[in-house]
Amino acid sequence: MVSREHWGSRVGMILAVAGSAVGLGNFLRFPGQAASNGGGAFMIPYFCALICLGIPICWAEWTMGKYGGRFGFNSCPAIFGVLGRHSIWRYLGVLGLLVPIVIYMYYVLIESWCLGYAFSFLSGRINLGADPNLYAAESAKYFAEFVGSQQDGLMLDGRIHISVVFWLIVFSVNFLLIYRGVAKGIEFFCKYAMPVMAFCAFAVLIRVLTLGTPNPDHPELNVLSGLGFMWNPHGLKEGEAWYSAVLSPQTWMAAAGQIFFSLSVGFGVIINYASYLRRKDDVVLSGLTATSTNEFFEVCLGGLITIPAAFIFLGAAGASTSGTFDLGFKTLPVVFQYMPGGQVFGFLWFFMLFLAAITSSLSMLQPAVAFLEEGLNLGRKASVAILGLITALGSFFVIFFSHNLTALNTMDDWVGTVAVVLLATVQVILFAWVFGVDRGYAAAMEGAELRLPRLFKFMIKYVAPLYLLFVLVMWCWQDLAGKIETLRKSNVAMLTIGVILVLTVFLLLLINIAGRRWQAETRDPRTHDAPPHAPSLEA
Amino acid sequence: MSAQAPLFPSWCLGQTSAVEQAASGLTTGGWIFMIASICFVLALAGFCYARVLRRPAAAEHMKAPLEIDTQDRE
Repeated sequence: MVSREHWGSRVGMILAVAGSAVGLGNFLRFPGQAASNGGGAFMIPYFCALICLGIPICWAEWTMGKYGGRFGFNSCPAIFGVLGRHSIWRYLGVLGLLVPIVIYMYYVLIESWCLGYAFSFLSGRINLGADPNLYAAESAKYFAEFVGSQQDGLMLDGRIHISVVFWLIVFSVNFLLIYRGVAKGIEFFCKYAMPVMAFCAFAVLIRVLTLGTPNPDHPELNVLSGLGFMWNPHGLKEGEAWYSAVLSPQTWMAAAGQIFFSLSVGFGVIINYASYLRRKDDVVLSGLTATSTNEFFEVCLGGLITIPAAFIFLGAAGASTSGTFDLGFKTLPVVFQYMPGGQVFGFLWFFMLFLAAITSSLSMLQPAVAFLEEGLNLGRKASVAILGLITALGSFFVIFFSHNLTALNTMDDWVGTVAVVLLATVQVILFAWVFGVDRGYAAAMEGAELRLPRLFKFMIKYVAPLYLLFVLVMWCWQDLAGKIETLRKSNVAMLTIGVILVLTVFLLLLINIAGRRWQAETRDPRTHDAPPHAPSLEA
Repeated sequence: MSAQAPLFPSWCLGQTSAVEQAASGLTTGGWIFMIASICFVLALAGFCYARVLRRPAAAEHMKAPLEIDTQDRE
């Protein structure tokens, strides 16, 4: 029988959960969303979404995880079975495995780009030439060559490609840490990585805020105007008052979407991490602390660095770059090219992004490892080896079909976006309507060091499910036809969907096997029988 | 109407695009939203970490166990 793992310390656990949430979206997606949706006015719907949607769903996930962990379970299928008391919930828990595994397959690649770019800045490999007019084109060319977006088969061009080398390094580090376990691997790493990440971010922030007016020929491009481009409240269209942005449904949807993806809600990660808590551990204050840490990185650091830096050197055109990859890997290298000491600060920036990414990718592996351990009764070595094989094959697929990043974008569209919302919807309905919001509230309050507001019940029972269902319906109405058309036009995209479906079926089969095994061992999660090794339900 | 003094300050009403606003630096509205947002997040994080670090040994501060029915059957 696999022995139960627990977190080593509370702060370590909070930093691990926060590290899971803090990712590229905090530094690259949030500033872009804010600047294009009303600037400072965006923060009104943003904080409303945080309080009404993000934090309540986080608390629900923490509670579900801790409750399932009490019965000795750490994976979504098993915990869903415990909460839902029906095998259908166990099978719906496949989303809690599929989402982190598939996202890991391409996220580890982006992570290796960050480390590769950090190395490139440190070693001076990134050279955008002497002509400032060609910086943007050179930067785009460097990125295309680095990720192999010009053609498929990045690894088959007869030479050792730098991005593949970094992919191998990053992939290995991830699995080494996962192999070491929850406390000795994930928690140990996050306890050091998070402060280092904050240090790197502060160093870049100080550099950006002390730039003054770097180009005397353009006095209008200075620090204050950069901050103004990010924070000045404005309407969505020219001539509109700023409050029109607050009144626009588009802004509210964008704000809720940012909160949703920023907090890693619907990734199946928080449930898994919370399952390693002990029965009397607090989830309310811990969940809020992890959320506030994520917000600190997003608002206080991400909101002051990315867009202002881009505006100071490149003006509104550069700062208005759409897309996370364009802003992060094409625009910012140009910014560091202009910036005094840009080689060092470019390294610090991309190394910080790498740390943000690896603390997230680690969290994507643990749910599947936990499932293999408890579902198939495999040891740590075997579980890590099997997951390593599956994710390596998937990641190879993404690397090979690198042309226009089609495979990566398809996985991100269908799993990193749609399946995440789907999983969150399943979780919220399961928690509030099947498990019962009153029982959920009671379970959350057990050991709580902060009183959960009564409003939590209303939010999690009505507001969160309605919002999530609304998002799903709107997506089907507005985007589904276009996405299907995109699939029809691209064989690679179709193949990617095929890979996702095959993996889904494979995971469903494993869940079936696990379910039979749990039943045979009289620890069927559909019933609430505690397994022999689970902590006592009595106080 | 255009000759009348505006009812609200300029940052509150008829500003045009983000680019035009940025050209005038950080406006009063920009300062307010930026500082308020950062202060809110810092206050929330500060409150949380103060509470967490004040009670490092969580197990010593448990509430009484709640009655949770665990005998449900399908």
